[in-house]
Amino acid sequence: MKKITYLVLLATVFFMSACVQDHKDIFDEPASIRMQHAVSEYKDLLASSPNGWLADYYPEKDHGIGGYAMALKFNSNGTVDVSCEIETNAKAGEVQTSQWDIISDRGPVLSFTTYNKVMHYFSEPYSWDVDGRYGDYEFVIMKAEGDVVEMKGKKHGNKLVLRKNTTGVTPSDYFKQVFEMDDKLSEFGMFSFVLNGVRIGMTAVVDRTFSIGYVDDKDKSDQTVKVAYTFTPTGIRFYEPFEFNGVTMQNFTWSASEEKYTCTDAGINAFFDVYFPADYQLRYGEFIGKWRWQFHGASTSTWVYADVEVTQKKKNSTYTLSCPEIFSFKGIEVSFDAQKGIISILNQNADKDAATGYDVRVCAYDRAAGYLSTGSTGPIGIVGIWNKDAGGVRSINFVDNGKWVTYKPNGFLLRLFNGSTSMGNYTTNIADYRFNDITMTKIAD
Amino acid sequence: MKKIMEKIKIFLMLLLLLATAWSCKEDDLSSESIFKESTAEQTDFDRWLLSNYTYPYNITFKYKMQDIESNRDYQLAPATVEKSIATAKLVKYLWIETYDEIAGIDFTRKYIPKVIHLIGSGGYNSTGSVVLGTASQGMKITLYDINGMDVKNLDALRNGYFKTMYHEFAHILHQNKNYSVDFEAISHNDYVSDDWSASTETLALAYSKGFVSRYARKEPNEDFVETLAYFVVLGQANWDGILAAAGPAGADIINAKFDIVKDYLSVSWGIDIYELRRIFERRLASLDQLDLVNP
Repeated sequence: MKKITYLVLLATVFFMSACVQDHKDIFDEPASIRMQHAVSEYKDLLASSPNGWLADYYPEKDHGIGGYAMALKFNSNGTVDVSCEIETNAKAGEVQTSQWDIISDRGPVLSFTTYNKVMHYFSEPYSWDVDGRYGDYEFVIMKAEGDVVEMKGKKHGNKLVLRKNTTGVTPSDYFKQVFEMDDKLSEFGMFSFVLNGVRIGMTAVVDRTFSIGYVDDKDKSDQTVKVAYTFTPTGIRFYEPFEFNGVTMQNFTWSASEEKYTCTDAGINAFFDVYFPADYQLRYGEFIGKWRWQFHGASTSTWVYADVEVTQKKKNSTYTLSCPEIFSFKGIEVSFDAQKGIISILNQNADKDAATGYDVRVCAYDRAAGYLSTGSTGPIGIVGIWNKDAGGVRSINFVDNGKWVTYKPNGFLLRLFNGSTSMGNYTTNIADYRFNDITMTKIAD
Repeated sequence: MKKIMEKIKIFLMLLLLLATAWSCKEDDLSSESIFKESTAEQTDFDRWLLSNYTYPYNITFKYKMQDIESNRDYQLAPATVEKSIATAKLVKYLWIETYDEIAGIDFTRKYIPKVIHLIGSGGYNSTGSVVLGTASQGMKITLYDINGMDVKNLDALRNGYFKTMYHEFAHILHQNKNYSVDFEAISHNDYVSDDWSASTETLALAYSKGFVSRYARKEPNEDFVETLAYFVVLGQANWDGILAAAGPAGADIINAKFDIVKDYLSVSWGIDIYELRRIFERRLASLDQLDLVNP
């Protein structure tokens, strides 16, 4: 009997509790309706900007190579015009139109629903690169405040921040300014990070990221923190607010006269100024001009002399070195290391031989040992050592760059290649096919 | 004692009644539907799809890619509108209407997958292989690499998209009406499951063992639909080429399988496979009459 009483009691309590409480809704409307409203609100918001939006687009895992400036104009008829500062599957700055939508997923999601040569360049897979560039084209909308909409890539998680184009700058003008900033920075490989007047450490530029070195306060160990950025018309903007020693910073302007980036966020005293390491040699522009070459050609006991010209190829990255006196082709590529201010001549296919169509290859050459490196690209080669303008004469002496472990090249030779097959030395060159113990002396800028 | 029990019973029943009354107190149903169509503006192509896919066949033709609808294992990109229009025209002309013509529109309406989803890029696996089409439970067919489609290349159309579509549709047919167990018996020792793509399991080996493709060696169902699809879409010359490559012994096996496929289509569905192929070929030959540019 007692058992039954308990059961009855239990049952009563159970039924009571199951029904007594009426759930008070936190929101006035059901979740699905709220979602619908959010979707149409965001749709209206994105389509509301007459001059569209400017965005920093970050591809790659953990935004590892930095971001690119993009312009987006969402139209209420469902189309979107997209352009980017760099060449994608469309030319740099070229506008590509496709379709967009806000869909409801785990929240309102901005989706680029049909193929766009700019947007999908960053996500398209290839048989040789199944992950493509790790970019997103579906973005969960996190928040919209004022003229800024913050979103997050659905698949790879990089943020996409849209800023309303309130100044009315045309995308092509915007990209032009951004490009100038990119162009200015490309000369410098190293900066020094200064926070509240204290030099924190060296900062290396890799792709569009700063690798900021610092010494850990606790264990005095050397640490590096990587910050990705995108160029703006006036400087750079970090991927997200970056916190260091309790100071948060994101926006920097470039001063050409001081050669530094200064933080413009309110109340912040921080900058990155150009840093040249003690062993830094010369700046990119200082290598450009006419030089006189001295080298060993056919004989190692007789010097050969020739006037060469160094011209810009890819600014702050490579040069073309030409000399109609000694090369029967357009010239060889010289590479510039912006962090160290040094130049190198590395293994390369310099040109095609006019007679045979074969590649004319620059092959690092250890003349004493009689060996050459046959690779079609670096890192094996020779590196230039500056004389620090001793005696008022600027000269560069080329030596082994140490990348070829087995041999020590002291120059290069020219050899013809048909694909990967060696077709013998390039003996029809105007000078001998061998170039060793090269020193070049500046004649004119 | 009995009396007390009775009382308790009554009490419990009352309680139950009360509880039921409480739990029935429901909110009114909202008149607002939670299922809303996307509000994106309809284009001419969208309207064409409505009158050519949705209204006649109840098919949703998704050319606007949504990642949530696709395989998350792959990195993908959507199809261009231009290629989507061409694909929509081709799929209807070379696949759906071919079955309309031979088996009647009611047959197609009943068995055709209800969602066709286009992906612009291929579905690349880390091994380098690429997925061109998938079908899930007869409900949805996904076609990849739409942006790479060349409408002028008939061999690529046969070997790529249309082989895939006839292959997947054949699955739907045998899932509805099974084929003779005799089929499985023919090659039952030569099915290799997932090893079909192993480098040792070559195409030449598959031919010699009486299979029309390497993939057919996966299992009898795949063998069955591969045999059907290859015969219908590859054309006589290619089919003869496979038989020749298979050698006399292999060709005998393929022909034996083909006979079962042919009888199955005829007996179970009233479809003459030769006629089906003739219709497909006739349509393929008259592709130039199709406007693949404007919806």
